[in-house]
Amino acid sequence: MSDEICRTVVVNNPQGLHARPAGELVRMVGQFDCEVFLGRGGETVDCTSILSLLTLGAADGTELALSAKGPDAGDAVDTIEQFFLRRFDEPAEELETRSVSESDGTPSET
Amino acid sequence: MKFADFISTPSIKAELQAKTKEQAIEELVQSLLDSGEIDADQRDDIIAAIMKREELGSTGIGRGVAVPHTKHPSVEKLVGTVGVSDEGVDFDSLDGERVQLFFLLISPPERPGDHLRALENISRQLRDETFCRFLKQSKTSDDISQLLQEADDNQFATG
Repeated sequence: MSDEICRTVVVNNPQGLHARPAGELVRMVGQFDCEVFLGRGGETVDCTSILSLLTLGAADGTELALSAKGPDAGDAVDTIEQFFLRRFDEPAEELETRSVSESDGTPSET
Repeated sequence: MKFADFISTPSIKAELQAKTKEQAIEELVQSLLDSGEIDADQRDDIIAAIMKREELGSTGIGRGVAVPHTKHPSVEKLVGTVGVSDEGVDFDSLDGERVQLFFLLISPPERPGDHLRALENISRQLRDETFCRFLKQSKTSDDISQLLQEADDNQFATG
């Protein structure tokens, strides 16, 4: 059995791990010869499916367990970790969106 | 989050007429307008915003499913609709499959969490092949809303 490489990544994006970065991840993983998984709590999903990645519902600040197995596992984990650190390469205005609390949608007075 | 929390039942469309991506988006946005979910003077702006989002990367997420969406300041809460196309529409999906199932979402800009939870619910339910297949086979909007209701009641739950 080949060694599995594991690392913790954190969603650092106000939009969370939404559809576009999920698609980017699937494309990224496709370039490597290895299996890549992301886990949250007891659930682990295969990074070859956007549908699976979206079931994680990973909002801003969520910690995810990244793991990869196969010949390119090291490169894949590095590349994906960088993508998380770059906040999914989102345009600056998307990253500035402030989220309001669920209980109160009233913006603060200026 | 359940489908009932964000899907506008009167806006659900079976047998979409659209042949292209843009037509599909127009048809679904029009349906939201016809049900009074969005303002008439916002229609074109919402369609343009959804198309602009598609340019960043198709929301065709595979398995014949697309989730076209946008943030828009004209809505006060997350609102969405479902459309089913018999023949499917070329949506530039990652897996190349034509899209038969559409979940179109419009969310207030300051509530990204609601949008994410709606995507989570949609993707979780669609992982169930039976639910996915039944939806694609639906011939009336009543069939679709019945299936969404059953999914909300966990009748397709795969855990």
